[in-house]
Amino acid sequence: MSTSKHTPAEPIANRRILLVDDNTAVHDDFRKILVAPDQAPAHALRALEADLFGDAPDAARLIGFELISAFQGAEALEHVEASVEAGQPYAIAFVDMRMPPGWDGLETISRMWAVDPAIEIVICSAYSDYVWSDIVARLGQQDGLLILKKPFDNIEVLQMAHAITRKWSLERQARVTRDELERLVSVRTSQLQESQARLESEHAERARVQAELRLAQKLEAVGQLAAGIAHEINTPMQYIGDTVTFLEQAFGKVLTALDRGDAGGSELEYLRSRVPRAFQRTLEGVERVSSLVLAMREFAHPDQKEKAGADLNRGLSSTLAVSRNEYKYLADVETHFGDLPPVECHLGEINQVFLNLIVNAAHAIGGDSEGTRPKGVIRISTARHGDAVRISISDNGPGIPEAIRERIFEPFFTTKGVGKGTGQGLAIARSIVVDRHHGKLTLETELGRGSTFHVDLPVRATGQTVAA
Amino acid sequence: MKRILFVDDEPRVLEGLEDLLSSRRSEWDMVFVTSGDAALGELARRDFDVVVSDMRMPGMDGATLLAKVRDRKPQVVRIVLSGFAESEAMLRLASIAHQFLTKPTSAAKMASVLERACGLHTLINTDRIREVVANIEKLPSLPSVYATLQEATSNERSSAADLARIIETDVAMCAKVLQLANSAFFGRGHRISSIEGATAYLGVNTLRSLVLSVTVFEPWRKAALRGLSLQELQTRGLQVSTLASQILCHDRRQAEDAFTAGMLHDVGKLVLALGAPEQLEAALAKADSASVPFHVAEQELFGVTHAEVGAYLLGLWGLPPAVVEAVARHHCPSNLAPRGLDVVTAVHVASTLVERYAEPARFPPPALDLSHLEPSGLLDRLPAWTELAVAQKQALENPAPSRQRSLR
Repeated sequence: MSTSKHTPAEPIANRRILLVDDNTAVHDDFRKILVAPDQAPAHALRALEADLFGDAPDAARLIGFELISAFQGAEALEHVEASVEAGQPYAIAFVDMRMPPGWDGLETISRMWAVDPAIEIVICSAYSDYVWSDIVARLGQQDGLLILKKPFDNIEVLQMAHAITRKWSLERQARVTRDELERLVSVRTSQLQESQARLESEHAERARVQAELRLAQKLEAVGQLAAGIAHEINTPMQYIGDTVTFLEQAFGKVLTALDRGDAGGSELEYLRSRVPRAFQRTLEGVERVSSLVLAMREFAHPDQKEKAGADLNRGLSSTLAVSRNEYKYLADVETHFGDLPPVECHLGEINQVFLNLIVNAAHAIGGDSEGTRPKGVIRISTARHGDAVRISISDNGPGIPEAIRERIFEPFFTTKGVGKGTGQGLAIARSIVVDRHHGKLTLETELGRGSTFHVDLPVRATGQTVAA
Repeated sequence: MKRILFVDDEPRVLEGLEDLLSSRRSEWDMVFVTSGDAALGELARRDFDVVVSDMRMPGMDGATLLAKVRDRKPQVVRIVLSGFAESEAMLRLASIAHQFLTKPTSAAKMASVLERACGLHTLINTDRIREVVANIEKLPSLPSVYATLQEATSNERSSAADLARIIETDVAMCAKVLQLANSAFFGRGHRISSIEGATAYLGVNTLRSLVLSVTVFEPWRKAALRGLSLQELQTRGLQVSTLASQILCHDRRQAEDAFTAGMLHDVGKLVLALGAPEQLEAALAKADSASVPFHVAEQELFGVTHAEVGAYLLGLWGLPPAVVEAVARHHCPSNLAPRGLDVVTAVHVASTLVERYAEPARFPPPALDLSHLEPSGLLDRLPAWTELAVAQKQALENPAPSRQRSLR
């Protein structure tokens, strides 16, 4: 067993040699060749020398090797196992071929390699018990295997010991370097994978937040619409109810008159003049409520994952119907709808853009108060320009001052009073038009004359929809 | 013949109302216009008793129109009929309109609101007093009660019932809360006569905005209103409430009406103190010099008493008819046909007995209307009621904790 110190910090320098031979004389010969004659005292002397002159490594190189002896294969295997366990492997094992009564050389080698595949083997043999090809076939490899023919030359043994320990060290170094490289590569790979995953989840998160923001703004807009829609429905409900009650009374009066056989009278005259209009009015009311309900359904058009061809003129009409109460007291609406091809888009989102622009136009005209001001005009036109369509929404309000023109598309920018708007409308509109549909949202404005927002959209959706 | 002006920017609503109410053509002269400007034109040309206006209209909106009507023709009853349902806008209207109806309002409701608005004038025979009453937007509250309510509404944990307990100690707040709760805006058409029901109906959030809104509740800064003590008015109101609801304790529904009517029975004095203080003072002086009850002096001088004035206000504000009637008749129920023990009788008995056992005034208290009680077969109940009044008086002099709730 070794007594020398082998520090794990310098794993590569390894001069430990195992000699496996049943012949004691061979052991003595090797010791003479590879190890300095007076090992222990020499050690002490060198230690002193190192203390005094500080050149211990150079001195160490001169001593030669640390030689461990085994006389049987099984004993050799025990040494190898112990060395692996202690983290002090042997660089070389010189193995005799015939070692009765135990395992022969090949058996010993194959067992040692099973424990420590890195150990270099030198087969020592006086005669060819085996041909080289048989040896290789039995051991399964020839790298790390050498044959030393007996009787051997001392120099030959020493050179072999030097060359092979050097080979062992270089291989060990190469392996360590390769392992380190592999480790580094795998660390880097997993870091890359992590940051890739993080990027992906951040991207998904961003898309989700954007979608939520769009939805929140839509809900906010719809919430504001709800009161107006209730008004739009309650008004016809009022006159439908009144009129049907009147018709019920009228029918009773007619029946009474019939029972009496009295076809004249001022009351019946009155009914004759009013009842036809009452029926008409009831039907008009029902028509108004149902067309509003239809418009609500169209406006709220559930968003599909994929863009689909949509009639934007119809989208504008539904949006105008559901938001009527927002503008009708402030402005008259003029529409000039051109012929539009179906436009591939998310119609629900585009309607949201229309709603924001229409409500903004009404507010631009109405200002903050609804007192007794004259009505303005909102003009809406649509036209096809080659592969694109343009929707223009104009108001004849005061226009947008130069100072804030740049800022109106910024999130949270609003000129409306607290509680009137969150400043998301135009920012969301632009995100929907530009990012989601590869279109353009542009502004023309003139102080004192009004503003026009143009929405330009490609007819065919191309490329990827940007989530942001 | 009553004249009613309807204003709505939707002609079909007007056509529907015209047809619906066509059977009333002999009683009501109805005019229909589609804008605020046209309405003001009509009002300048002739007199109207009632205006029913839409809220949102292009050009002049309903709030602007009704404010102008209030300034130009204060005696006209102002009613909103709106399809718009925002409580914020409605609170803004609380001082401009007398009543609020929401579209769709049923034909029956519409007819009854108009009938009552047109029938109110029979309570008061002079335009001047009608104007005084119609001009009242809000009544003054006791500063102490106002402060308590403010504190309670700013406390997150206050319930509607907590707030009700405060509101029902103040005549002005009671009247206003009942007006709002009975407006179709909040209600679904059924009448609400109890303060507790009204506050529960409006909810804590609305009550909070009422307190914050300067146009609805208002603390009164002066201790006395020309010969009238606000504090005394509140105390008497509570006493009459309690006694009247005890008299009707066998009928929960009637007891609630009686409680409210009792609280509000003298609200007319508050109206007069605000709008016609000289009339109030003249009547006080006359009662003093001639040694007659106050309402008798009023009747002799002006042909109308604070009872009718108060009832007129509550009627304008759309309070339940049982409450309005009990306030109107609390001195002399005998004008009505005998009909046994009801809210009118209970409030009459309670208010008379409370006055009898109150601090002596310079003039005599009102008398019990025996010509009403006798044919109603109620004379033998008087001793028991008198006992209740005496017990209440004693309890008031030696107050026990939470007296007011335990008596109910």
